[in-house]
Amino acid sequence: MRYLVVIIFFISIVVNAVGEKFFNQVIIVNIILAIKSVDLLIDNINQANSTRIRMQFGNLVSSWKKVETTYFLGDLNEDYLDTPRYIDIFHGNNEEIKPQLDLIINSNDELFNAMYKYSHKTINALEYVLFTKDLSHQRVKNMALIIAKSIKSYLSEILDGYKMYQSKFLENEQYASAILLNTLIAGTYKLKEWRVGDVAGLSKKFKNKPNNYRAEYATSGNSVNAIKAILETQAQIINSPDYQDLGDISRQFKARKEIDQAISALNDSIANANNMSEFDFINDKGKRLYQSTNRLMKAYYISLMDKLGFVSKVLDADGD
Amino acid sequence: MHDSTKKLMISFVLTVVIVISAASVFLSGNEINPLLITYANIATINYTDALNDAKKLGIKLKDFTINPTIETMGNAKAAWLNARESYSQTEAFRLSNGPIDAEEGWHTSYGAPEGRLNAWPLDENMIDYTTNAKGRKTSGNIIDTPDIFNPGGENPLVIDVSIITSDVLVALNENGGNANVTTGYHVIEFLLWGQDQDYTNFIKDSVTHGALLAGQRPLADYTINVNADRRKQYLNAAASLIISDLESITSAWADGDSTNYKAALLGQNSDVTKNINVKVALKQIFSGLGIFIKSELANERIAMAVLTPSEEDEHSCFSDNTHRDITQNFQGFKNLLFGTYNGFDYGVALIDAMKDKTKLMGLIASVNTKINQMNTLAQVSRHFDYQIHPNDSQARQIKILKNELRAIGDQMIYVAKSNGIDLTVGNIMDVEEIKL
Repeated sequence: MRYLVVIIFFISIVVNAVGEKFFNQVIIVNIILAIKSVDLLIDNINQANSTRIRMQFGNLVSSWKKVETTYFLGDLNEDYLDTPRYIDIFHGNNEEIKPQLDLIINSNDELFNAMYKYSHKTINALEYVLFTKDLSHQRVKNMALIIAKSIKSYLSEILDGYKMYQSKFLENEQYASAILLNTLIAGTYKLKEWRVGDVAGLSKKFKNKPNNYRAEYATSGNSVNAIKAILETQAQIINSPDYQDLGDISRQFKARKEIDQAISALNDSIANANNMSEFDFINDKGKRLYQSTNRLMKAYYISLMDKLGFVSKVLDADGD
Repeated sequence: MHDSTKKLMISFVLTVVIVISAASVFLSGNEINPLLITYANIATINYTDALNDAKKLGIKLKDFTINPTIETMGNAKAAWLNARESYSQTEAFRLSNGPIDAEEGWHTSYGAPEGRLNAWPLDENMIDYTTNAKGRKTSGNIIDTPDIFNPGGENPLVIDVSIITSDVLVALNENGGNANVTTGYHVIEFLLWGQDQDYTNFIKDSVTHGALLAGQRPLADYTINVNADRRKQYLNAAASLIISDLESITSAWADGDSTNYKAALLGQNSDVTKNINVKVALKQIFSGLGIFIKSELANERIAMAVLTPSEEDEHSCFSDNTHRDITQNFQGFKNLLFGTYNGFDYGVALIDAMKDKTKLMGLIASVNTKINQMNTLAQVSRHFDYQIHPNDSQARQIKILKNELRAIGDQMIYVAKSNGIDLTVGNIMDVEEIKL
């Protein structure tokens, strides 16, 4: 078996994969932008500028989704596996946080103790507080600040983590490509099934039961904004002219047809999302987006993953 | 050389190596597969122990309900804790399409009682009073309803609860939805210990106070309280049901019965149509162990509790026995991996064919260390529900424990491969979890 691992390794070192430029221009830049977004939001909350708060929350959503779309830090160090759960609980647990937050607002308990759950300090909680509560009340404002600062602290932790484990990502190009593709596949499933299908009534779970309010950021009207950010980040991964990306690697692996199909489905998805408003999930526009993201997932999962044998080779090499 | 040719060559060599290394597992003729013999014999003894411990629990509950004193209540609690030790090890047999929880096949005739035995979490408000988030005592439960009870939820059937019997509890269990749990170990746990957590904020711990205190149900609930007799009925009915369900499962694994599940697993059932193909049996076993360790223990039981954090999601939240649940669940997994039980060797083990065990053994050693630490702290310093507080140093350790258990689940792919069984990542994860 060891001979096999060696053979696989020799094959791997002649292959170029996504590298330093991608890491610095996408991974690092996106996380820095997210930290800047939350910093500005904290300023706006302090100034109680409701117009700017609304706009800046949208920017935070967009920049966080970019970070989330490429989040593979947990693959580089398992200590970071759970960090996104402390920032975002969409579809992640069964908790109903709105009544919990109401209870906290109406109680006299110290906020430090009252907001003991991680979910109380997520972007989902922040949306509820910022868009449904009166920030002129000091307790509400303090809650918003606690949440925003918590998000900033986890984003900073992510930035530090990526810097610390950058070399691990870059030293094994096939491993890097494999975890990147796996991240893309998992993220595209969630995009298609949770963020579009569940809302449009096209997923198995909510078949023929469309409901715009099931959308990820229905309260603030940022759901389409979030989807656009996810798709734009995918373009940074598979279709950028500025650095060697996963699309270039795929072509080197003779997966030209497969990556072209993926890019085509991605471009269609971006066009469909750009053509949508927050209330369009339940009509033909939502259906079109579901269909194109479904094609995108199939292009990644069925065609590309199969063609890029290095993904399964990496998994094999890890074993006996 | 062309890429695809290389891939083919690798795959050919890989296949040859696997076939050679696994050849001894699939014996010719009528010899019984040794891995299955080990597995089945551990099931026989483990379920027998679980049944005997459940019977002891039943006796102590009888003693308590006939003569409720601090002492007999303490004895009943001790018997419950003891019964959990052996039952928790049997949980490693779950999710392998065996009689404990099979959803298809003839062996569902054993009743697939796992859901009745170990359902969790409970909606304890449905069973008896609790103190709610507003600090008020709840009512409208099975105990304080003298006649017809509506369990609520989706399309519930109303049930006459004027006398609480095993049949009544079965009729109510999951009637109206999965949360409507009325049977099993955790129901008895709630009726003995009572509520431990503060439903407003478990960190405040204002229902019971202290890092080493579990639920403090007063003895008066069984003596002077108006519903004392109904609680006694409930305890005895729930215990009877556990015993009868475990009797059924023990019969499935009993020696000397050519018509039961054990005979079928070993290819010796007198009805040959019931015999299970060796490869199918092994695949189900490896897959079940992977799902149990990764999706159930690591995710459902540990991650949900520590990542929320939520006392509601700790397994034995009334008695604060969660540290033992985790320990014994992992012990059950190790029993099957190493072919041992209570320190005795039961023969060829699942891990034996694995050539390089370094990674798996390293993970197991690390998990053992963390579990030992969790146990020690639960005894001397703070229970599991305090160890998962966000600022407790143990919270990080428990998160790492969860990650290592998940990695052990992934290793089952390689353990299986060493034994000639192909598993994918999808085989060792709960279908719902794949979507996460």
